[in-house]
Amino acid sequence: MRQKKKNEFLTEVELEFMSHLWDLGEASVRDVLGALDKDRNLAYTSAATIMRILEQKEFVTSVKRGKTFYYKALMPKDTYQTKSLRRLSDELFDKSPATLVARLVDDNNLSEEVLEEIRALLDGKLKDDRA
Amino acid sequence: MIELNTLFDAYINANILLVLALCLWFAVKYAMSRFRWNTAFETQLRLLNGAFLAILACPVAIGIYVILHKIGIMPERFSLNFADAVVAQYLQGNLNMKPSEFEAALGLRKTISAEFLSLNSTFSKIIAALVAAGAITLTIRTTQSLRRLRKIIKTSYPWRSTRRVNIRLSDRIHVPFSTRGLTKRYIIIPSAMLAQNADFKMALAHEFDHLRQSDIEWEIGLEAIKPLFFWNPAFQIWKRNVEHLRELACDQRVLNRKGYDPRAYGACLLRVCDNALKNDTSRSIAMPQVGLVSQERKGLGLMRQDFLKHRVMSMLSAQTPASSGQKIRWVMLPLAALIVFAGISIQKPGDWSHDRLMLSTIVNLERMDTINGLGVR
Repeated sequence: MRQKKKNEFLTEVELEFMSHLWDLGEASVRDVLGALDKDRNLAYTSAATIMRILEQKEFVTSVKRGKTFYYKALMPKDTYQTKSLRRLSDELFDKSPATLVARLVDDNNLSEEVLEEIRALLDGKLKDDRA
Repeated sequence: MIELNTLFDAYINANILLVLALCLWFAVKYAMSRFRWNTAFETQLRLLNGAFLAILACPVAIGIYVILHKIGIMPERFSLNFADAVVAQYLQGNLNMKPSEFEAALGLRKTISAEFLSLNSTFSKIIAALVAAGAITLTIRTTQSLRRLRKIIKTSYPWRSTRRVNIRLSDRIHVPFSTRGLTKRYIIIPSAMLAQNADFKMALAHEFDHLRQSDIEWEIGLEAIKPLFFWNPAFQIWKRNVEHLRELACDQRVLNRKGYDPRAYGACLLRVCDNALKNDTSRSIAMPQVGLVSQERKGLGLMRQDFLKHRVMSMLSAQTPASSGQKIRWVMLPLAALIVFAGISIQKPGDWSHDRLMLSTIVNLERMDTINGLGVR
């Protein structure tokens, strides 16, 4: 029986794999490898190990069809985004999401459209909460 | 039951022996550099470890020496004791000193030991408290490191396993390292390294070499005795030398055997260092493990940077060490013999040897002469 070990967050390379898996929906190791940059030069065995670690971390689940394992994300992308933002807010912004948003809005690179989009999102969230 | 005095004497002797052995080692190292062995890191490491084994063998050698004296195989006159040799020189008139002063100088260590063990003075109390505090702190730190190390292994993911070595991947570390349990040896590689195939292979080869060299066993041994000898600079220098030589020897062997490009290998070391520095170094473990690069927080310090530079320069210079082969024994045997001889010579001398009785008589004569002189006045 495989040992299950939970780790709440992903390393850089695991996140890269998960991102492709979120896009692909269900994929084999070879599918994920194919989705990586051409100059990546990652061995199949390394990719298979990364997928196995992701499964042990309970981020993905696998089914065997023929001789191939197919992987599917267990955690939706937005759930992981929320978790990551919460950690960022806790660790870097003194557990204050307001400071995080303020820093984001202070960024000069934000266009009018993006700011408008953020405002609409906040309005929507406020309406939902009141309802 | 062994008396406290005897234990304290043995402890002080071990510290003195460590200093003497280190001096001998530096002399050997200097001589080696004159014979083009300055890049023979593996030979140097074997000599240094051999010298340490000679120190450990000293109690056995001393026991044999005492038994040989007792059963009469070794004559009473044949003494290897340093203090006995000095007394003999004094009796032959080679040392110009008043008898009472000479006797006081000979008994100085005994006086200091008695003073220290009785804990009568504030100074001895402060020293004892500092040594005890240091030893306790280091023991606690070691226990914490062991716990952290256990957690890292427990939360890591199995990758490959042989009968004796378990290779695992961890997302909690940034520097590859090897360690061991009671029966199994472990190599732990950061899982992020899977994305860098060449670095992964080089790190694995490096750690396997540490296991082949039994570096982890030496590291555990030295860390285990650290709480006892931490205050002795000779111990610190010794340990630092072992740490440096084992990395240099490992780099050299990996490059020679695997044929990696020294520049690629050096770049891999720098990437691992860079990665470790970028990440949280406060979670690094100080022991008992042998890493690809130093994981200690003071790794950011100048000394560590200098050593990293030295490692990279050693690789790039690509000097093939002169083969030591069987020649090592011609250096090892005299070095071990000198260390054992030093170990025997610093032992507490027998109180009632012929020369000692003579010295005591001379001191008494001096005292009587002083008393008579006072009476005449």
